[in-house]
Amino acid sequence: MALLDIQDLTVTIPGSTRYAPPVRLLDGVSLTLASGGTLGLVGESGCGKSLTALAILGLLPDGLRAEGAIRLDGEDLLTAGERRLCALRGRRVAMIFQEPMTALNPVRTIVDQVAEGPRRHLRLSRRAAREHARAVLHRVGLDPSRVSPDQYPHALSGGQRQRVVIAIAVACGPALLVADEPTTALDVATQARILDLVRDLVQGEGMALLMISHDLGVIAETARDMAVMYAGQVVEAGPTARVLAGPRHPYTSGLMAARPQRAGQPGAPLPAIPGAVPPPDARPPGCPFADRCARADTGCRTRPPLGTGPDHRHSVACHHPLEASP
Amino acid sequence: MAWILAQRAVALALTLLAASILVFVVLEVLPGDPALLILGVNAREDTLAALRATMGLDQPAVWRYLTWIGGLLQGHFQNSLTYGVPVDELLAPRLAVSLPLAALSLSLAVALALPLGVLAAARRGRATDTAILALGQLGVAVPNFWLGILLVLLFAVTLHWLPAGGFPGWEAGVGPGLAALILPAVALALPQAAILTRVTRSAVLEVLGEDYMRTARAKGLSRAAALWHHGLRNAMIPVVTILGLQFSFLLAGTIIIENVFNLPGVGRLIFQAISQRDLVVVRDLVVLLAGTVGVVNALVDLSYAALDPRLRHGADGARPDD
Repeated sequence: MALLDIQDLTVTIPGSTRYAPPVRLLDGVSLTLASGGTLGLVGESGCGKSLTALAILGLLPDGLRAEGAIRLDGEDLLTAGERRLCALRGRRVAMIFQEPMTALNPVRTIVDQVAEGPRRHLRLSRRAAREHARAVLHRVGLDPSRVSPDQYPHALSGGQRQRVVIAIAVACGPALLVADEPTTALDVATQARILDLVRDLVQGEGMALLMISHDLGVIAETARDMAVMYAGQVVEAGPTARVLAGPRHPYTSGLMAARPQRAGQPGAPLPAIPGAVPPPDARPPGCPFADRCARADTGCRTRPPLGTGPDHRHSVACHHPLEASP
Repeated sequence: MAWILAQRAVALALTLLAASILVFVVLEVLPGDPALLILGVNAREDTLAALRATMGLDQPAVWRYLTWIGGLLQGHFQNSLTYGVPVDELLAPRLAVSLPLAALSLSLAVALALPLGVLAAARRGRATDTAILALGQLGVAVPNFWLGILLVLLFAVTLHWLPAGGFPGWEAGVGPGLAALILPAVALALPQAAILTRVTRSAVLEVLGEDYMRTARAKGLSRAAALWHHGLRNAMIPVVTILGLQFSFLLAGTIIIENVFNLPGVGRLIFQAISQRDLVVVRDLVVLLAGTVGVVNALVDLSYAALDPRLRHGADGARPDD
């Protein structure tokens, strides 16, 4: 049984007027992640990556409705009560946030903020929880001789703060770690070290990782499997190596072509995907990518594509997928 | 922390200096001869001159200012023109009424406003929130002297639960003393609580949207636990700021409320001193009030530092690199 099994997850927000239909922010997202596995979720801003992450933790903003199923160890989180979710959050599933500058409480010491989870979930005494938190901070690379655990977040650099955020997430040894763009707010050198740390922790502790990023490079480095999201849907999914070697969805191939590393001469413009993601309340009836796709025909604009693929591991939702490269 | 203390002490001294010069100059410029006030309009000119000389009024203004301030600094108060006793002797029994009244109404305002404001924020947009907001609107709109009269009508005249006014003195016991202060304290506190509730509500709402609240929830804290452990302290800074500002209004409010309830407090003393042109009392009291406001502002600044570690050192220190 998969550790995380998301089936047909749809998240809606009520329409802007009383009679307007609800707007679908996520539209039938299905993902699976085995225990100890790594899954990358990639896509442009606004495609629903972060919303998927928040839905897994049951922390969707007020007013949003989730339907479908999110199973963790077979238990459906969408029907679980708030008490049960509180017991699971931080204990079985934990999250690393994007913005280390604002994710920490400015008025509590870092050791305090790390100790809070263990105190609750592992039922440790105040003193034991702090000891545990000190050990976790050391484990994520904050040497107590250089960065005192009794510091407040404002005394730390962005990279150090992100290490604290990671320490909070891994403090109770969760089975699933959701990392939502953990390196986006950091400079390049720090990004690499934080990615190394996440990879090292995941392997060392046997956690499963759901890595969310807009950066294909980050996904390639951290995730064995990947899923590409576009306009609230998963458009292509499969083993990372296979998807990157032979993308079948025109959007995936466009994303890969738009990477700076893949571009030709320095100074030459990057091959951008024309157009923009359709807003959630104005998605076309057919394929959401049709308006930006060179291969689209009239059928693409009227019939939504079904997820099919060359085999059960590599799937693509496209009427005219690219040929697999030989 | 010591640096902030020193800063605040200097600021307080400067405030007091400015306030004392201002009140002295204003009273100097205003018409009204204290000697004439004491002796009456029918007094003979040589008697008036003699009294002016004994009161030191024939001295130059700068000299009189320096004598006054020098005396205050040594704890030596001049005699009131109407009562003939040093101002501190007038002040002591009245402070024994006004200070408990201020403390009682401030604590009442805080005790009402914090829970209501947090509750309104936690139930944003629901019936509870709307009800608290409506009550708050009413509280802001109602003037406290009118509220005082209504309270007297209900609790003193109709129900006979509490005295309508006057003060029996603390000699009569703590119970009767407090009973006399309850209605005035409520009348002072309710409008303050109304404003403070709104401030608390918006401060908590803002904090609820912060990223660290989501981090707290992702750790497994319930909504209430996250608010309690991570939200409140962050929400307190705007609340404390408003509380400090409200203290000045509270002082102004006591002048009115002590008159409504016939309480022998500092507010009533100021009112009487002004109407009797007792300039010696007026200027001492103005400096006292300025000092009180200054001390409260200093306390507010110190509480910022206690609430938020980022404000503890003058400037933000250099951050170590990763």
